Amino acid sequence: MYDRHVWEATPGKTLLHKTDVRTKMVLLILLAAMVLIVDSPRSLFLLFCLALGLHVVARSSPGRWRILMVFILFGIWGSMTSQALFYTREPRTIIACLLAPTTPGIGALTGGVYIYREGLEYGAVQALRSGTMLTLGLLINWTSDPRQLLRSLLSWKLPYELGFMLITGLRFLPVIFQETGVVLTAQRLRGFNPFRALSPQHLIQTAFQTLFPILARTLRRAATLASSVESRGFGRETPQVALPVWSHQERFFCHTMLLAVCGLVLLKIMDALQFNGLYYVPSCRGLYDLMKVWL
Amino acid sequence: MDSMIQFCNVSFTYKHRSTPSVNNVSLQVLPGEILLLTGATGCGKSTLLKMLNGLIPHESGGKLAGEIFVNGQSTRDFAVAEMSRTVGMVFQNPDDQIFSTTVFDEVAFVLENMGMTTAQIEPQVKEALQLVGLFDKAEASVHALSGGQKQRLAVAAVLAAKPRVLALDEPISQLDPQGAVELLSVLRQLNANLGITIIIVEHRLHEVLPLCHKVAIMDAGKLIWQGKCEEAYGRQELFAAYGLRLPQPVTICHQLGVAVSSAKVSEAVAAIRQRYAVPYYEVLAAATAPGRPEDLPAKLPAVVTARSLSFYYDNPTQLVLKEVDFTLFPGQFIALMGNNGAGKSTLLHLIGGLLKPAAGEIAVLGQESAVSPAVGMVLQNPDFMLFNSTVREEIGFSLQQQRKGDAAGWTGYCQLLIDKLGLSGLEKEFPLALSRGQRLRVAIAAVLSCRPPVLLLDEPTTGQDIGHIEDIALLLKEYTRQGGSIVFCTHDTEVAARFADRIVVMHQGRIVADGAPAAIFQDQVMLKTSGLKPPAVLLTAQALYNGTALTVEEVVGYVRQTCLGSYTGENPAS
Amino acid sequence: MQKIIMTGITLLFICTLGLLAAHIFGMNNHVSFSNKQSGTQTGAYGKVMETVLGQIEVYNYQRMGFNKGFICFSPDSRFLAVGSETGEVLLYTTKGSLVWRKNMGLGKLTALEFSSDGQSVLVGETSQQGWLFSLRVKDGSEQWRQASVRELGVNIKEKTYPGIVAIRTDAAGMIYAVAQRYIKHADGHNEYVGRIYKFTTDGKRVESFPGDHNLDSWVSWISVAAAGDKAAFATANFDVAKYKYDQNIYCLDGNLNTVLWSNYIDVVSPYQNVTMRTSTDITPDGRYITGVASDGRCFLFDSEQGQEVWRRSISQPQKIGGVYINATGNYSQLLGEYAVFTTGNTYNRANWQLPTPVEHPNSNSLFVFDLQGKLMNNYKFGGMIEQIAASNKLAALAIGRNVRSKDPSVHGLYIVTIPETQLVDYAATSGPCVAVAISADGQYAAGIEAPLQLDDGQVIGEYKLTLLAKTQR
Repeated sequence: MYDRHVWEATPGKTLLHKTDVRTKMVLLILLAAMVLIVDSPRSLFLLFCLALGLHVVARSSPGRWRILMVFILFGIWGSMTSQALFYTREPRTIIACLLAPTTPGIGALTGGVYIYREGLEYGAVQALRSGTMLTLGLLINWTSDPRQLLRSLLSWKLPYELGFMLITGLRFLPVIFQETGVVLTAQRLRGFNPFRALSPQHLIQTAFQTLFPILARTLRRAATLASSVESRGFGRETPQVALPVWSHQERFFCHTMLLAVCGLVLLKIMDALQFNGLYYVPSCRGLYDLMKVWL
Repeated sequence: MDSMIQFCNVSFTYKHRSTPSVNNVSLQVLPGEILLLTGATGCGKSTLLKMLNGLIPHESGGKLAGEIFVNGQSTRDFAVAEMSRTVGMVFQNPDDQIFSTTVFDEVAFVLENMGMTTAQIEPQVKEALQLVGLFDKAEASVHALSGGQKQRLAVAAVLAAKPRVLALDEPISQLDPQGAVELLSVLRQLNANLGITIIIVEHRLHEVLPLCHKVAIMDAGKLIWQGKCEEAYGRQELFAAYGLRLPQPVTICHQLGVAVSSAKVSEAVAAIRQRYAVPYYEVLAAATAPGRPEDLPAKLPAVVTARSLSFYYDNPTQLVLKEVDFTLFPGQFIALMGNNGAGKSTLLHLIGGLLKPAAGEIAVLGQESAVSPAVGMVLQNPDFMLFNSTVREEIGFSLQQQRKGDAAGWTGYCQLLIDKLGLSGLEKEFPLALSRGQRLRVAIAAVLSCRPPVLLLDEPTTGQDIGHIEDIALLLKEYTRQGGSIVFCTHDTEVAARFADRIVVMHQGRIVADGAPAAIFQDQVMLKTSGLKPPAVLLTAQALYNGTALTVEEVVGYVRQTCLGSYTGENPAS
Repeated sequence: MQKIIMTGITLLFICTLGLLAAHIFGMNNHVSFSNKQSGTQTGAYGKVMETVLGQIEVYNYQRMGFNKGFICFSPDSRFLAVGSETGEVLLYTTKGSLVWRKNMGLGKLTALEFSSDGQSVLVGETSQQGWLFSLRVKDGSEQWRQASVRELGVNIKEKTYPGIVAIRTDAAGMIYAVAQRYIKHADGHNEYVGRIYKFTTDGKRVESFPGDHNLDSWVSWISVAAAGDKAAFATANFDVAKYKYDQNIYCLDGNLNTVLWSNYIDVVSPYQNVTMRTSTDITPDGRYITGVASDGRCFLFDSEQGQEVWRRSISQPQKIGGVYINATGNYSQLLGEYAVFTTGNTYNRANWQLPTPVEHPNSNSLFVFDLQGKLMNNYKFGGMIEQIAASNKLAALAIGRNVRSKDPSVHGLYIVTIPETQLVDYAATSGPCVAVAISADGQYAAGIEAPLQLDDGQVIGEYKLTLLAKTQR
């Protein structure tokens, strides 16, 4: 987990490594849009599997798979747990009672704490959404040279500061993870017991104590990188630099994907109009049927 | 000849500061010269360096007075990006500079910024890689490179633009000896073959000086002295005054009143022989030195015992430690040496209880090793150990956790540490805001405060002034005299030779040598395999009188004693 | 240690995704039971297959209607068609294997029937267009579809949709479908729009009743003589209002052109009208027609003239403790020489949700009369007879909630002999059994169980299909 090399982009010869960063960014944005538009658990699951499949294509290392699995498991189980307990929509079916409403004091206060079946299902579906985006985001991070990423963002007229901030963040995040591990190690060595007192004040103080050295180191590092990069000609006054060519095939692919997502949006609108009783096209019944299952 | 670099009455004050960091500096560097810019931490040398390519003042803000000309151009008139074609800047930590995934991409970065096409870029990249000896690694991942290779990559990354000037800010401070040698060799070749003017800011003078043509010393923003290297060798006291470390042969010569214009052992020996009639064999009766404490007999039980210790991180077939046997006795000061990847840090982590062995056993004070107050550890980067709001809290932290001392964990010993480590007056300061040397000392004090029987230090002297290194080493020596045991990881053979009772050399996961410094540093074969160089003082003693010496004082004392009356030079005291 | 952790994480990941996939894609659990483990009481029938149909909303005792589903066997007893609440039509063999499943999309399934030649499955839905589909038994592909929206209209804003609510066939293969659209107005009054269609086997519409306007009464059931020369339906209007089609029973000719006769049934106190929701039934030869009213009266009519041959009260309103209680008259079936009627749960006449002091003695019961009107036998079940299916001297009954006793142990699929009302076998279900079917030869029976939330919040049962086959003795 704290091994920075697992987090940092590494070169490779897979299709995903060779793909232009812009194509990958477009794919991320469009797939993110798709998971937001789509409500059907089936489609969300398939999109999620597609994202995982891309990791297989990119030949992510076992260490990376572990990180991915840990994050996804946290996402799924965390989301399911929170929704299972706090689901408020109807219908909702109780499958277990954690705290009966008759429990003295807290029972009456809370009205009982239950696990709702629909909450579990809803939580799992939501987790698929966030899981897909996380998976794709990590994929791009792991298969893209941060420099290419920066150039691509700039070619899309992203302000220089923003682009550099993003890249610096991506660049340093793995290092910060690693250094967090080192700080925790150092605290252990000093006999630090974060849970000695469970007061919120103490815990907040603990959090800051862990944060200080990492922040300090990060700030110093950021300054050095900025100097280094500017010393090599990168800066606001620089005329537009030679950008890697975005191949026609990839552009075409992106445009097709964009059209597909636009189509999806239209279908969703159509479905919403039908659902709300505003507009129904009888000849499109087959489409509505498909949307019910897949959208 | 027109200068390549010219500082004309340059002063600079950072934003939000009241005192200038550079104060009225005038300096010239001729084309093809290598200038070493040195001084104590905080003297302004790095600030001066950043003026070369316009980082100051264009990016830093602040107030700049005076002019800086590089290749006839004023840095005020050109943006940093434009200056990058003339000046290549390399910083201290390669990990903070490299942000591509492949070697090729990193080197191509500067050329892309110049608007070159791919067809133009490729040959220039390859040329730059060739120059730094990384041609065969063009497609390699940057993560697969060693520290030295990364720093060479950083050099190649600026070299590709074919600058006339290379400015390097403490380029070897984070490198092991092998990496340092490789980088310095590259710089020498660049200067010799391409005539590139080089400015190096560095502490490790004894390694860099032999490379340089000129030296400039700064202190508190002012240029104290500048001159040729040969002249620098005659100014030992100046260097000493500012805590700068000349090569040992030069120091020996100076103390013997011999003038020398080179740091080479052979030249120093020749110069000494010109003045002193030193026999070619060692006269044992005269073998003197400030007495070395005898090795503590192994009567007391060992504090650390490791038997057949093996360890791997991920892959069981890639052992990082291979059946290591190691014992540490009370009062011992061990220098653990070896190249990066030899397993030194891993061994320390195992002793500290942070890792569990894959095979074998390790015991600390008779117990299986675990994180405990019995073992104190100072990590490689002490910044990660500073997480309290004041120096006082930091030093008292461990004791507070153990509920010792007063409410803040403060004891009389803590106060003593403050005094001995020169931290007086800084008790209320925020530790992370202190200077680098101060931060290290706070970290050491914080670990020492609870007086652990075993103290482990993982390369704490990286990037430190010699003065601070000596302060720390002396404190630690005293600690061992009080019964504490210390394992001190270092690349610095001179420091190890001076202070350690015992040297343990590791190579590829095994201990390849373990013994007294004198014996260790005489094993040339082992040293070469392990990537270590014997301290210059030992080589000097060997060359001079076929003897063994680990400190400058030993050699000077020997020569004086054996050659009483044979001095033919001026009285060095006059 | 690291390896163990990694293995653990990987396993947990795969299991989590696997469970998620199983849940999302609704992998069915096919469980076969041998006779010994059949779970039926007597072992006369054994469980061939038990499968979860999906996840549906869970109702409790307070809910008036109950989610269900539709099942029927093909005429040759080789196939079982299931229409689930989740919007799917599934076809199984009577050996228990799934032939195909089809998601019907937007529409809500409201009727299911096999064509008389057993080659098609007729599916009725309620939707914006109110389709009647014919799907091939072989592969589920659509043969034809007909909409009811042209006649019944639709209001997509108010979501009052037309739907096919009953499908029947005659021996010649003609298809009769009842289409209905129910509109609840803001002022509280109810409006009904209905039509009865007749189609050929290839989906061509040949007749409709009425021809040029819609029925204005609640009509959701029809029975057709085997020869196709008569069709009879009853009305079930909630409101006491003036309707054009205000008679209680109508008998049409086979072409749906002419009303051969219609009858008005007198209202019995304390009721204000007569509703016959799931009536009528007609003998195969078309001689007799039965009907049962919600007030507990059952009738036998002569189909020629519409004369009432006899009437019986299988449940009468009783005033106990100041409230009228009764058990609803539910289903009527003609099985050979016998007329079978069922009653439902006891209810409070003033408001069905209010409690009743006692359970009506005739609630949740099966009554068998001969055609002369003599009571042959009756059988009291512990819970609501949600559905009855009969063939070959056997009746299969789906027994669901008893909203008075709330005893879940009564739930299950019961098979009794007609007229003896002897229990042949009983397959218990945890949740209420809400739909039932029995094959023409009586060899197979199937039931659908639904989940039920008890008063303490616990959910029992699941939405499940059970297929039973007669065991070889």
